[in-house]
Amino acid sequence: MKKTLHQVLSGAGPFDAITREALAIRELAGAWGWDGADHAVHIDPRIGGRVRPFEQLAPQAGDTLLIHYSAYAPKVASVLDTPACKILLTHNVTPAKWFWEHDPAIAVQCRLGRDEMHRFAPRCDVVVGDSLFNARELGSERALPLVLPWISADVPLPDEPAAGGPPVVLFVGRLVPHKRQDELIRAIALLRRHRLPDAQLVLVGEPLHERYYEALVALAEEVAPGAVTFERSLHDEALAERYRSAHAFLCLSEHEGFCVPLLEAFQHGVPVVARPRGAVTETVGDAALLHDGPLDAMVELVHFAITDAELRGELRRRGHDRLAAYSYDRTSALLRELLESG
Amino acid sequence: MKPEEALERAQRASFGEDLSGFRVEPTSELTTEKLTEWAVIETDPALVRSTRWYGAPITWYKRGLRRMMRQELGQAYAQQSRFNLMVVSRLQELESLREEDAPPGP
Repeated sequence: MKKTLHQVLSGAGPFDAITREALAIRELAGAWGWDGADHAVHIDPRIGGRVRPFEQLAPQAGDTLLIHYSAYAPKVASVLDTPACKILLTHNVTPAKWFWEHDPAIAVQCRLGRDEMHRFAPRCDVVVGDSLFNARELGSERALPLVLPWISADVPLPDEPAAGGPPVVLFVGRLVPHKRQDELIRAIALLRRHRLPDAQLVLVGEPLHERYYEALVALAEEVAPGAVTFERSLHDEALAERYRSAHAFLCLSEHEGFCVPLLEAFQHGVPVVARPRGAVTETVGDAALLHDGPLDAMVELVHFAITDAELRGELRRRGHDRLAAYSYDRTSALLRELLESG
Repeated sequence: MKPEEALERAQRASFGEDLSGFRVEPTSELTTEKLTEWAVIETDPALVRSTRWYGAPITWYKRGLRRMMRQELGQAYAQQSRFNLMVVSRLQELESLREEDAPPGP
């Protein structure tokens, strides 16, 4: 009998990793000959017709429903009463404490979302996280890493950035409080003052809102004038170019449910320095320099990762090896196993 | 050097600088001062925007509408702020009563 898989998202957007995963899963389901469609409560117009309005979802008995949980969406609760097999895939919801000061509406959503996901879990047939960190928040020990078609362990380790330019430190992620771009800006200021005077920081990501973006720009102008570049809405090729040009990837985020950019850095041979928060430790394994200490130590690690050839080589090699755990072949096989058992 | 050695050596780094400027602080504990600050509703016109593809004219329209409605909105904000502040005041009173009723320490 033909299998039917529906996916439910709280929101769908063109640069959102969860939406991109859902679209990749849809492609896989199509290749496996499965029916079904993807539905979201909030749909960015740039998504076009690839994701349908949530109201059009009508799962039947025997269907499989993959619920991607990443934000509060009270409407989604209605699917819990349907006769389909329900798999809850949690991508985590950021603790509200990071947003109360900067965006109360988002903070309220986070607060309600974190409460709601605990109510969803017992009403689903299977609970799985895209990391163990996420799964364990809901009492599950089952992880299904994000299914990302662009992550492959088969591509050779890329060349180092061309010599001659300034050292470039990169971070990719939304400009939101818990990702701590304010700390990254301070880090680049210290790196320039004490170690590498021409170092540059590239921050790629959509801002929480313009007011928050302006606060970060003002900080950059104050402590590291001319050293920070902000970019957003980059398409795949432009983003890949930023990775290829980077000498180190620095992640000072305080909360991550998975952190796809860490894998993208590995894929492009960029040494990673990070804070071991949330799922970061689990995502990087032994392939990154993890430190939970003061900013000075993080800056020194970035300095070492840029200037010490042996260390760079080792981190690049470990990062490349780490991709095997997250390669598209492996994650798509794990996904199929989950869906067929569910 | 090996990654393990880098981690060990980096811990000795100390630049002795505390850079000023915008800094993110999570709201881990709610103080009465913070609640009072939040009780007074004051929206930021710069945050009125449209996220649509051709959003600029819609943003302009929304901001114009907001300006036209400022008297009505001001009344609504004032009434809500009054209620919020009264709730915070009552909370403070209850906290004071609880402190007064608490048994004396050793």
